[in-house]
Amino acid sequence: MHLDMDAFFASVEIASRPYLTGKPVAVGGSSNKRTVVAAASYAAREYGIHAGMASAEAFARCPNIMMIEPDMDKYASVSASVFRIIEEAAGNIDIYSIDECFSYVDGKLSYAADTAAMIKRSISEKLHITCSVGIAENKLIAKIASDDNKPDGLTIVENGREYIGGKPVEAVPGIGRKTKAALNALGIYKVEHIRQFPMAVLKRHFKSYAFVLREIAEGSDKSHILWNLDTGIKSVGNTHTLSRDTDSPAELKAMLAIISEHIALRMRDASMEGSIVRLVLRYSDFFTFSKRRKIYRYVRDPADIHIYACEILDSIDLAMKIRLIGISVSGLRPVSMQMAFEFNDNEKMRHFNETVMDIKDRFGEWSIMKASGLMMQRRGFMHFGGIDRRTANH
Amino acid sequence: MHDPVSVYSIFHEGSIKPLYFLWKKSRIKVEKITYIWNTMDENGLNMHFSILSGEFYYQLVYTVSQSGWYIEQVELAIA
Repeated sequence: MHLDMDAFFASVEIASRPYLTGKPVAVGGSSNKRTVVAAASYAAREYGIHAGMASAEAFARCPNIMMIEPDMDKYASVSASVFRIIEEAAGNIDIYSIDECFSYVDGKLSYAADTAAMIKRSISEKLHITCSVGIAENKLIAKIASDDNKPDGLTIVENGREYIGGKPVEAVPGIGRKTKAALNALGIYKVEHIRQFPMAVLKRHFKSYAFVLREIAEGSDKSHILWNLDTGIKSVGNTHTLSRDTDSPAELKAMLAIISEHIALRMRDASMEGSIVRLVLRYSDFFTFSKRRKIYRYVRDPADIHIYACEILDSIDLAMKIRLIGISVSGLRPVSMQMAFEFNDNEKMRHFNETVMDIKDRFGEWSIMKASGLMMQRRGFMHFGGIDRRTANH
Repeated sequence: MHDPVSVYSIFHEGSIKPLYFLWKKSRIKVEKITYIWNTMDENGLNMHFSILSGEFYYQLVYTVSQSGWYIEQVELAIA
């Protein structure tokens, strides 16, 4: 079964403030902070407001919207309570993100449905929020099904192959905008169309991914799909919109140091290391571009990520001031034991980085930071809590 | 905000129930606890309480290691 909390951040805020029930509520920054909406209540969604939208646009669509500053510590605490309830009721929990997880339930689908109903009731009574559940023979189908009857839904799929066949291709996790466009260009709109499409042509267009598409079309989640759902991570990245535009290399590099530490923490959580560093920049006129660098070793320490990001920055002649800056690390693999022996001369630095990340893990991301990070905060480029730990790219 | 406050509460079998608190020379009655959650910081465990009283919403925090309370947030409880 797959459990997905409904409008999680917004729901937690509404549960804390019952007088906001039924009102358009969003979690995000105020309109003058150039932030984006992190979550929108269902009442807010009626105005077309959704996660990822600029806060200013949300205010334009609904001037009366209640915009609440995000409180990630609060959401993490409630998330832990949710997962505890699920674990006690069903066990075998596989956490996918802060607001969704899988759980394996043995036996018939009807038993899983009873367990899901019990979990939903318990979450609603104890935490005053709702979740939607999808129950199916495998994770792929369950994840798609949990989205069917939101909010507070419970969807049971008995025949996975038939069910997924009727779904639009973009409903499948992992099929993003580009793949959808490529499939649509071939006349493939529904998953069942993939089944009917000649494999040779699919292979010509999608290479080895054609086999994954075929597997999806059969409602199976073996091999690649299962791997993607299990780890969910192809790259780990984060971008930050600066409070004011700048082209100062010192300020941009200080911001990159903060982002590097954030990414390193995420990579450590996922036990991954990467070999490609990409720098993302957006000019003040919203023109966005990125430049990447392949590294001939695997990195995971914040200092390494920062060095490569700065090298990329130094190689770019900035045409105007920067509005948004970010880094992503891809080419990921699970952390290898070899790493420990590759850099014996850097033992002290590695130990230092581990200690810093332990402190961040225990006391929060802003409990310890470089002086340059404090400088950026003091100069008004960012506020604590301005980076959300969920922003790994899946 | 991070205003220290005196909170009259019941500590019973591992749970805490704030009843009223003294803040800015006023005695404020806790009419409803709407939400409770825990966080960790450099001081250890903090227990957060969302509270409604009259037309106001408060967030009170109890820092376990210091046995102290403070107000984290106050806002008008009117949408």
